[in-house]
Amino acid sequence: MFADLEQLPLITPEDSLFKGQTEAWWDPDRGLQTLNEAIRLRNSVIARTIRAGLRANYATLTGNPEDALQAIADANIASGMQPDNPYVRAAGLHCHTVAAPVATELV
Amino acid sequence: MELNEKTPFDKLGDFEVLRELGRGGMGIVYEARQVSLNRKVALKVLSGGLGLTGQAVIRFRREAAAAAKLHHTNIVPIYATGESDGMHYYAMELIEGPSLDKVIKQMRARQGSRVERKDRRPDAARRERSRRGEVAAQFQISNLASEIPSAPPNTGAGDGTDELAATVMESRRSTLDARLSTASVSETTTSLGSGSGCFDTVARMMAEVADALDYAHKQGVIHRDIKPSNLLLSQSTTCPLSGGVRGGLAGRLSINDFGLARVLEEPGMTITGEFLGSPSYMSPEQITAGRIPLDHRTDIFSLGVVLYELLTFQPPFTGSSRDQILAQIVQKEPKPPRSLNRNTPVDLETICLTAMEKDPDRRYQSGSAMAEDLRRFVNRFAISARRAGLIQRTVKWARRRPAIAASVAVSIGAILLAGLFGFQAALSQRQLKAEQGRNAVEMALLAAMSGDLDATEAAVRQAELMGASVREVRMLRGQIALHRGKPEEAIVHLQQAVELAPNSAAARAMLMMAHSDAGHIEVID
Repeated sequence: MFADLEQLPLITPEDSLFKGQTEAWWDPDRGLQTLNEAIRLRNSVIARTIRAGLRANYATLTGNPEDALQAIADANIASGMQPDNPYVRAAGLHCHTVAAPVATELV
Repeated sequence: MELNEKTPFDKLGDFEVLRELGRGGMGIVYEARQVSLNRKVALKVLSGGLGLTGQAVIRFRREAAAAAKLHHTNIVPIYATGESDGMHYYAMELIEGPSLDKVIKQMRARQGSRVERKDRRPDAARRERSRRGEVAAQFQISNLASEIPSAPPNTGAGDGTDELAATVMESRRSTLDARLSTASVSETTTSLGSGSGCFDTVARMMAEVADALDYAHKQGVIHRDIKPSNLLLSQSTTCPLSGGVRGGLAGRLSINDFGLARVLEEPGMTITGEFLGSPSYMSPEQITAGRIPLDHRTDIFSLGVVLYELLTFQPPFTGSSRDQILAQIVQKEPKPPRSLNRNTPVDLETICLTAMEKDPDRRYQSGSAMAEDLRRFVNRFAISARRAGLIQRTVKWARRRPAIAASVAVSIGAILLAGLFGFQAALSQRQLKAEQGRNAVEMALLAAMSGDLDATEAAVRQAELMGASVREVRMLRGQIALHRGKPEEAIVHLQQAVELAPNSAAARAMLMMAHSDAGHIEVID
């Protein structure tokens, strides 16, 4: 199934967004690159929110506070675009929750 | 008008002067008898008023000598040149027949009177047409030619003495009137245009003249003053055209005064700087002498003008003053002959307009090329000249009617501008709608991910209203099912989305997520 997905061209921002989301399951670096392309094509609330979540997960893998801060930055931007959306707020909370221990380790 | 046939002298060299035939800008033409050969000739005595310089006289003799070497059926031969008692003269064949300008004038007058008669008696004219049929309508130039010979024999007056021919004709008006009154030219035979035979004959005769021009050009002689009054229509009993074409132009056209225009200091101008004769037949390069080199193609242009006049009975360039006519020749495109005489064959119009191209390079490059096309027309072959293309015709039309062209151009510009603005507005509107549709889909996705079912349903409906595709709606339904914890239901919707758009990476990725949630795919870290 993933082989089929690999062969498909990425035409719309949504193609890059959802493909990046699935790629991140086994290759977070590649998944994030594809998501970067999705945001370059269309800077949407959903794309920022999804990338915020993936960056937060990535930060737990790398233990790099810089990655955690990038996740929080995405969440903040999404929150600025849709302040009252529950999904966006949940993503923001997730980012801060993940970032806290990473930052603590840094301290 | 009383014709003064008295002559100031009885003899000039070998020529016994019989009577004066005409008088014009270049000289006086007499009917004379060549004593040594005992034959009648037309004797042109150059006018002292021309103020010929010694150099001009030498040039006149040289050119006359060159013209005398031309031997062609359709060129009036020059027998001799000479000088006697300070008077320069040359003798040429005496042609028994009218010049073409007289024929055209008569044709024009007849057509006018016919129209007038038709106006007065429309019913009678209609009955007449009906009775005889439109096909019968032809112009019998032969009849005219046979009537006009009562005009003086060839005056050799192409340089301006043609006016004198009219003077002479005045003296014989009574004779001519009598002939005209008895001529059996019916009403139906006096309209040019319906009969193809007439056009064929015109084309044949013009082809002969073009051949004669080609012959002269090959001998290095350019006429420079081709016009109807320099084309003499002779009655020829041996002419195959006289009996061959019903009601056709019979006889033979001969070019008169060959090469003698070069006597003058400047092409087309007298020594005093005034244009010689009618300017209507001058080529643009003759008028703008110096800017475009003058060569044999000037004669092709003039012959085209003659053909134009034969087809339409109108000169292509008219004006209230000489300057206006000259300006038109240089700047304005002539009206297509078919716009003046709808019966003119398209090919003949093309030949005529090709010969009359203002740029010599676009004309027929030789008399033989024009003659060839005229014959191809007569024989119903495709002619070599091509009608001007759409762009070229548009440019010519714009030159003819600059004011209308300008207003049309402005109108077209305004329409194009309005169209451009309209297109941009439509494009913007479309882009705006597409953006609104994408936003609606995104809002619906966001609502689905938020788990707010009511808001999700409302957002999906809004997305549908905003033009979301079926695939996008299926993807939305799949997302909703996923976030409601119903991956199997999500798979159904997303599978449909994949089937609708097999190349959509987004749909396939979402389907993968649904299979993952359903436990069909295990992702191993």
